[in-house]
Amino acid sequence: MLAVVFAAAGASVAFAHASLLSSDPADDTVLRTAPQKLTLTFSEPVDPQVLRLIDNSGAATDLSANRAGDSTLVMKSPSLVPGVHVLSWRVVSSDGHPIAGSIVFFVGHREAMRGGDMAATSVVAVRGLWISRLVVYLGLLGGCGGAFFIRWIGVGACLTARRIVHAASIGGLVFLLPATGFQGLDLFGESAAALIQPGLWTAALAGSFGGFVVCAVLALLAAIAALRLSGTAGRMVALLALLGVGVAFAATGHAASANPRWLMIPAVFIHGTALAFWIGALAPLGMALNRPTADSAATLKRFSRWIPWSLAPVLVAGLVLATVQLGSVDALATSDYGQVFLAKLIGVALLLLLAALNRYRFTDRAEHGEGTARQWLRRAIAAELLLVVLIVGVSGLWRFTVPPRLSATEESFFTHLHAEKAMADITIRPAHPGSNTVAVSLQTADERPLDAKELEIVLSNPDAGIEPIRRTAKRGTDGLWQARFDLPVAGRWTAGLDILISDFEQVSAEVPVLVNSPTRR
Amino acid sequence: MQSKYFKALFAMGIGATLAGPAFAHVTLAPKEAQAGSDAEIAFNVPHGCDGSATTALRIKVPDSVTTFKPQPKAGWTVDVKPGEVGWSGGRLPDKVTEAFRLQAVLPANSGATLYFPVVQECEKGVHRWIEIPQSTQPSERLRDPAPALKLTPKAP
Repeated sequence: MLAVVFAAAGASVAFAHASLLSSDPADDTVLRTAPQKLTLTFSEPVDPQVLRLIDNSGAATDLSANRAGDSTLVMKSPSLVPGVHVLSWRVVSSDGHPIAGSIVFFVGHREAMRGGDMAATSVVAVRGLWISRLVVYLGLLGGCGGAFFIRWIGVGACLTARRIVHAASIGGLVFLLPATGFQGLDLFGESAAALIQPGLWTAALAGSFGGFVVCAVLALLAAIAALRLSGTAGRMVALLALLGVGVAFAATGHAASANPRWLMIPAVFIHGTALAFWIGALAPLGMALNRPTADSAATLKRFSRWIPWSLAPVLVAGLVLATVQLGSVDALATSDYGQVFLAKLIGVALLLLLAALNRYRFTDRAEHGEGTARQWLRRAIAAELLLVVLIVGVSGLWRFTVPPRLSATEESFFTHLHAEKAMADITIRPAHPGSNTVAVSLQTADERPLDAKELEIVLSNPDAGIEPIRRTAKRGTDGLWQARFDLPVAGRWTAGLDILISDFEQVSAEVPVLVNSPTRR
Repeated sequence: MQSKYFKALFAMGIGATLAGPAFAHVTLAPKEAQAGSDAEIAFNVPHGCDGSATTALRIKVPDSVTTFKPQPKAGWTVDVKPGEVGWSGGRLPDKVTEAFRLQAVLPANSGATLYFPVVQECEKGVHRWIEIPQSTQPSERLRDPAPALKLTPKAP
């Protein structure tokens, strides 16, 4: 048994303490797959007091450890979702002095499909969201657009075409449900088990996504109704369905919230509505060409006359949207958003090529009843449909990127820190859960630049049970010290600075900092 | 291994050299000495830096100690600079403890605490024992405290 002695009056007494030599996973690492076990190796034998895993939703799991050799603790890791994880540890050395710290590691692909400042979600939620949204969009375009085509353009539309359009509308309606669920998961970074919580659903429907769901439901119901009604009533309802697509598109998404809103919202509306006309026409048109009747020739003729009125607005509106969102030409290459746009552009170019082929090579001949031309036209239309699915799928990736115009204005948290012999300006960017950069500029007590030898930045969150995370800051050419931290949760954190002024002199101080949840769409 | 720890409070003025257990910190002994007296201060280095052997020890002597002399050590080169002494060139393995001695005339202000910040250089890395309790951080346990010597009143 060892005795620890306190002497009164503040004479500092040396305590023995162990120190953490290494850990597995190491601090500040990215792992492709979740680790099976977690290891902490100390400089001497220790007794574990608190061993806790905190993930990016703030959920904490207490772990129990086994000893491997005298000074090593091994813990079995629970299954970990992709994202930031903090192993917060507190142990007691042989003399009773506790030491504590945190290891931060990241599981999965950091910033694979999203802007880096958003908390990671499970891969399942991301994929699920993308697929459900894809089906919903195809349903809107094919169902509402198809209903409009059948009621306004098509002459004597056949049964199969109606069935296809009907199925598209139903599909869109059905997939709105998983889309909402996955949206909720994505918002909160939860695992699939959270789907049973009604709070998740209400939160997913709150805000603009809910607006989108309402408009989409109405538009799709209108499309189904339009097929049943006849005459003017049917046409009017079909028109409503078509316009409803534009409204649904404009209800949510990065583009509709961009400035200038008076330009962007109408642009999105036009883009969506005109697109629905074009895409919705493809399948029924293909079906109409199946039967070499005079009706189908008339249908084709009318379609050819209308299509420029849809194509031009789609392209012009799309160009306007892209220009505002990208902000600059370099953003095409440097941002995820730009990359998605390039992929979409390639798809659209191919689509236009096919459409031109249809228009100028096959249409006239098909109108005059040429059999082979019809066949080729149908094949071309099928290819167009495939391209459309790909393009809509690629566009769906935008949900997971950050438009360059947004990255330019990053949020941050700023505070000032006073110590006995030094002061510091601390800026945390973007001060959201996830990857953060802490930048520190050091000054002497009389506000002149301080040339420190070393700087350690420490972030802890006792409320969340996160022991101090220590990082050695690096000094840039501008004299600014920086360190990167992956922070799992929002809240009130404590930032500490250990400033090495000279070989023998160190100044330490702490200040509270705030990490907020990002405002999400 | 189960370990318990006891806290004991000592009243002010009771000085005693406490033969403590093996600390992992660099510490000095005796913990208290008479103000104004000639003291031999031993700096104990029980460990290297996270397992790496110690290759140099540099001690900053407080300004109030005007007269001081380090004791030589076999295998080490001693160096004296204004306000600083150092031993270098040797190799002290991690699992071996050693004392480096300094002769000093202590200042007359009894009741004060003298801090001797120590920089311990090792084969791999550096460990600094330079934290001094600040008035802004009362009763905070320091991670790497500077060895401290309390001055007791002169014997009448």
